[in-house]
Order: sequence, then structure tokens, then C-alpha cells
Amino acid sequence: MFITAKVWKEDDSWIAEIPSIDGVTYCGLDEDILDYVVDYMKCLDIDVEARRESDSVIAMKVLEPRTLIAQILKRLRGDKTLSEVARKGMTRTMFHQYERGSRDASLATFSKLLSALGADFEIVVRRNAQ
Amino acid sequence: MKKSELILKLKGYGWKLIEETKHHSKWGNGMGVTENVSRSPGEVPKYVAEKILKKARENPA
Repeated sequence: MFITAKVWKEDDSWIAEIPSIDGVTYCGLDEDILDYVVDYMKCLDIDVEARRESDSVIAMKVLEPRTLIAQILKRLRGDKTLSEVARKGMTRTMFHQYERGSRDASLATFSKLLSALGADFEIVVRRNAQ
Repeated sequence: MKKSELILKLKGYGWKLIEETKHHSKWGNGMGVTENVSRSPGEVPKYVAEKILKKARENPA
């Protein structure tokens, strides 16, 4: 599973935004921003292998996809209770397990979880260049 | 915005420091909502500060 960060310069800072988890970080030097993004993800218990794809894009391979899914769910739920987001076929317990990262979600389940949160997400399948 | 000002505002929403890593300080409301603040010196870019504060404002402790 891959995600990306968008990088740009504002005044004296380099900013990186990670849209899939609604995260943002910054530092003073362009050459440090990759390190800051990796550390930002580490703070969320998500281990990634990151590389600079271009001046404005950092690509990250998520080593344990369940940790990313857990973080996306947690951040999207915010202060809503588990009861508020639970629905038929997706109990509070199940939701909690995915949110803790203790259960793997299939693509269909992940879509169902996002829909339960009312999230406007798009899952993109991209073939890597050979 | 100065980093100290951002931290004061986070504290004003009842957010507390959870842990520090090499490049970030992790702040949260104690109910699972967290945000990482870069430890890079200097001013916090307006875009970043607003994004962090919006989250704190919407999820006070």
C-alpha cells in the first residue's frame, strides 16, 4: 500500500501534507523534509519506506497496511462514539478492532468502514512502472 | 506564529504533551485525538498552525 505527501515551500519553511491521514508537518530545509515525514508517520505508529518522487511529491510504502487503516479510521471518527459509527454488519467491537490495528481489513471492508464514517475517499490501484 | 504561542493555544484547549520523537512533539486531548507538532526551530507556518489548531478546537479535552 502506497500513500503520498505533497511538498511545497512557504516563506522559510518546507511543508509536507499527507492527505490520506490529514496530516501536516514542516521543517527549515528541503533535504530534511523526507526525514520529518517518516518521523511524523512513526509518531502515528505507521512504519514507512519513503522516497522523494519529485520536488513536490514524497511516495511512501506502508509496511503494515493495518496500521495505516487504523490511523485513518481513528482520525476520521474524531470524537464520535463507536456506537454512532457502528451499523448493520459492522459492530462496535469490529470497528474497534480495525481501529486498533488488531484486525486486517479487506478492500471491501475498508470501503464499508469509510462509508460508515461518511468519508469521501477514493481507493486508487496503480501499476508501478517496470 | 511562534511555536510557544501554538503550544499555549493547544494547552488552552486542554491538550497535553504525550511524547516526543526525534522531529515531533505529539499532543492530544486524552481521548484519542492527537496531532504531531514539528520540533523544527523558527516560526510555525500559518497553514500548519491553522490545521493543528482547527483539530484542537474541534476536539477539546
